[in-house]
Amino acid sequence: DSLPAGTLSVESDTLSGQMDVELKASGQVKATRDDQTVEADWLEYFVQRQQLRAGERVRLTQADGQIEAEQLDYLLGERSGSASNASFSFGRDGKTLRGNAGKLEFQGKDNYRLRSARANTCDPNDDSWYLKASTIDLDYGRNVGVARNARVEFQGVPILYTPWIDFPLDGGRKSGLLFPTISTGSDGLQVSLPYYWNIAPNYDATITPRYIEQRGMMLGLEGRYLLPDAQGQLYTEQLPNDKKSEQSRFLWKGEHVQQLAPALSAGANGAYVSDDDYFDDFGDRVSSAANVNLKREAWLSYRPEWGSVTLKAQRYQTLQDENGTVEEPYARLPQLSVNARQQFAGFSSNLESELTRFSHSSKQEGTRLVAYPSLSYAIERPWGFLRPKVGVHFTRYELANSDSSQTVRSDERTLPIVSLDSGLYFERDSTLFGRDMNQTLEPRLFYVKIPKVDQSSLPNFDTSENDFNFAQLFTENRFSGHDRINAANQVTAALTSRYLDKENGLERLRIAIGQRFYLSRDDISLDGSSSERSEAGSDLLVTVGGDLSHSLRLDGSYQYNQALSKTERYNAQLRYNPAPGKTVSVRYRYGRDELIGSGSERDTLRQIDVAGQWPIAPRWYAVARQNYSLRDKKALEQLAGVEYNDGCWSMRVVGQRYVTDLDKTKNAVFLQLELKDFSSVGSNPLNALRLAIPGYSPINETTGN
Amino acid sequence: CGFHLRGLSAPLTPLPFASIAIQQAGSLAEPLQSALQRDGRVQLQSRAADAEVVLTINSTANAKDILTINRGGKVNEYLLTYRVEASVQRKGDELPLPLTVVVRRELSYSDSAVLGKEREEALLLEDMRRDAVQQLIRRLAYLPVLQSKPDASIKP
Repeated sequence: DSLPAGTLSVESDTLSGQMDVELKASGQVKATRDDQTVEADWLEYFVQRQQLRAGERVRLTQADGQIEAEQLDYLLGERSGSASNASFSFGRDGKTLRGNAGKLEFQGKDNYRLRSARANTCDPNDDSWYLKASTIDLDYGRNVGVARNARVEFQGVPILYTPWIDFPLDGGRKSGLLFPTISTGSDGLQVSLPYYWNIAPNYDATITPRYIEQRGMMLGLEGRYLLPDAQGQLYTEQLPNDKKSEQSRFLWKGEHVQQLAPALSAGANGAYVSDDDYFDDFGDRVSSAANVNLKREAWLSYRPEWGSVTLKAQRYQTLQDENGTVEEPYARLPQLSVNARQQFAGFSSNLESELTRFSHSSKQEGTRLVAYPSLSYAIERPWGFLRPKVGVHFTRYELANSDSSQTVRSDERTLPIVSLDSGLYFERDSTLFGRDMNQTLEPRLFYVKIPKVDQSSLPNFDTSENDFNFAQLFTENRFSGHDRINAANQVTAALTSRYLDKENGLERLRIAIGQRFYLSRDDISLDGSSSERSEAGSDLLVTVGGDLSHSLRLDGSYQYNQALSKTERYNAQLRYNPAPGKTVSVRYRYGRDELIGSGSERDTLRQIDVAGQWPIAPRWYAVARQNYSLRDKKALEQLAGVEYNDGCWSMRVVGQRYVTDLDKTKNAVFLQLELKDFSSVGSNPLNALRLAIPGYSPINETTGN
Repeated sequence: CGFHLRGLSAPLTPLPFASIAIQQAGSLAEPLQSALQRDGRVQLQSRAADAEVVLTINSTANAKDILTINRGGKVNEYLLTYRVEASVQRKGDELPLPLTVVVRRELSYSDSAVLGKEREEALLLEDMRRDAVQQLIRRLAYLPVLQSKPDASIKP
C-alpha cells in the first residue's frame, strides 16, 4: 500500500492503454495519488502531461474537501484544470463552505475559481441562504474568498447585491459588508448598511451609510488603530442637510492613548455634537439618556513608584432640553494633580494635592490650590485592624472678580482632619440553603473629627454631596470635591455578615447595616454656610445581596431617613439566569426625593423594571422589557421581540419605545438578519438588548434551547 | 452564638500552599501583596518559579451601564461593574484553576453635578477594587486539595 510519492495507482473493471503513454480505465474506476482520490465511471490518463480526464460521475476527494462533477480535466503536477457541473465542499478549521458551480477551475494548490456558482456555510442540504455569483475565487492560502457580481439570496429571495465582495474563509476579521439593520419608527424608514474595511492587522474602519426617510442620507465613519505604543479611534456621523430640521447635523468622537515611556503616558478623548437634540434624534435609548455632558479632555500622566502626577485640561459640552436647564460644569484649564505615598514601619504618609484653574462662561472663575498631607498607621491582625490617621487639609483660592477680571480676591481654608478606623472579624460554621458555609461577622467603627469652619465665602467649582452608601459612610468628607469639607465629630458604626461557600470560597450572601452617629450637631451645608443638625444620626442603611446559587442573584438596599422618619430610598432586584438564553429579572426602585428630567425639578421616583429572554419554542426566543413608572403611570421603556436561530442564520424583530424627555417618546421596530459566518463583526441592536435585559445572551452563542 | 474572633482562639487553618507569586496584576499588585502580607500565612515570592502557587490576573474590566432612568429619560443611577478574571496555577496541577470575581456598585447620578460625580465614581471604583482583592484572597483559602501525583514534584 505504501507507494512512492507522486505515484498514480488505478483500479477498475477494465484497463487498457500503452505503458508510459496513455491509460484508459472504465467501470468503477478508482485512481489514487498522494492525498487525492478520483472515483469515476471512466478515466483517461496521459502520462507525459500528467493529465487526468474523468467522466460522467466523478468524485475527487482530497484532504480539505470533496468535489463531485460531471467531467474532470486535471493536471496532477500543477493541480490545475477544471470540473464541470461541480458540487463541492471545502472545510478548514471546522468551517465548511459548500455549494455548486457550472464550472470549477483548479488554479494550483489551495486556489479555486468557481463560475456561475452558489455557496454557503450551512449544513449539507440546507439551502436557506446562499451567495450566488458569476465568479467566486477561493484562496485557502490566504483564507480569503472573493465573489464578483454577487447577490445573497435568502429563502430564494435576493436581499443584497454587490459587484464585488470579499469574505473570510477561516472566521477571521475580513473586509466586507455587514448585515443591514432595517428599522421603522419616529423618522420613518431607516436602513443602515455598514461596510467593514480591514485595512491592516492593526488598522480598521467601518463605513456606515444610513438612510433616514424623513431626514436624508447620513454617513458614519469609524477608524481604529492599534500601534505598539498607541491606540485610538475616531468616529463621526455626518448628515449635511437634515430635511426635517433644515440644518447640518454631526457628531465627532475620538480617543487616543499614547505610552511615552514605561511610567509616562498621554492621551486625549472627547465628543462634540452639532446641537442639543442630536442624541434624541439619532441615538438610541442609552446615548439619549447618558449624553447630557460631553467631555473633551487631554492629559499627561506620570506614574512613578511613589505616586502619580497628572496634568489635564478638560471641558464639557452641555446639551440642554426644553424642560429644564442643566447647570454647565466648570472647565478645568488646566488641572495639575500630584499624589504621593510612602510607607515605613507600619506608617503610611500620603499627599493629595492639586492646582486647578476653573473657567466658566457665566460663573465666578478662579484658581484653587489644594494640599492634603496625612500620616496614618495600621495595625492589622487576622482578627481585626486599627488605623489611626491625622492630616491637614489646606485650600487656597485666587478668585477673579466677576465684573472685571483685574480685581482679585483670595481666600484660604485650613482644616485638621483626624480619623480612626477599626474593625473585628468573627467567624463561625453555618449553613445556607443546605450548603455548608463559613459565616463572618464584621463590626466596624470609624471616627472622624473635623472642626466647623464657615465656607460660604468660598465658591463651589466642582463639589456635590456624595450619594449615601457604604463606601461613603467610611469617608471623612461627605462632599465630593474640595470646595466643601463637612464639620465632623462623628462615629460610623457598621456590621457586615458574609456567607462564604465552603466548597469554593464564593461569597453567597452579604448583609450589611450601617449608620453614622453625630457626637456634635455642627454641620456645613453645600452652600458653605455653617448649620446645626436636627438629628443625632444619619440615615440608616441596609444592604442584602449575593449570588444565592448558580442561577439566582439578589440585590437589595434600604435607606431610612431618621430626621423625617420616612423611607428615603430602597430597591430590590432578583435575577434568575439558569442557562445562556434564559434570564428573567425583576427590579423595584423607590426614591422619596429624586431629580426628574434634566433640570432641578424633584419628585418621588417609583419604578418597576421587568426584563427577560426566554426560549418559547425550539429555536425561538422571546425578549422583553417593561420599565414602568408607577408614580407617573407611564412606561419609560418598553421592548418586545422575538429571535429565531436556525443554526445557519438567525433573525430578530424587536420593537422599542422609550422616553427621551419629560414629554417626548421615541419608538422603533428593528429587523435584523444574521447569516452564519458571513459577517464577522457584531452590530448595534445586540448591544441595546444586552443593556436592556440583564443576563441577555446572543442566541447564536447559545447551544440548543 | 458560635462566633469566634478569627485566628485568636484557635490558629487559622493553614492555606493549602506555603508560597505564592503574583503575575500581571497591574494596579491590583500593590493591594494584593499587602493583603497577602497582612494574612501572614503564605510567603510572597517575586519570581513565579520560586512559588508553589502562581496567581495570574488575566484581565480586569470596568463597565458603567445605566441602571435607572427618570421620567425625563435621563440617567438617575448607573451600575458600575468591576470584573477580575484570574487564574491559579499550582505546581503539580495540569491546568490553572480560573477564578472570577465580579463586584457591583450603584452610583446615583445627576447631570448638574458632573465634576463631583466624577470623583464619587473614582471613590466607588477604589472601594470595588479593595472588595475584589479581598474576595480573590479569600478564594485562595478554598482551593480544592491538590490531586496527588506520584511523579509530580511539589517542591523543587
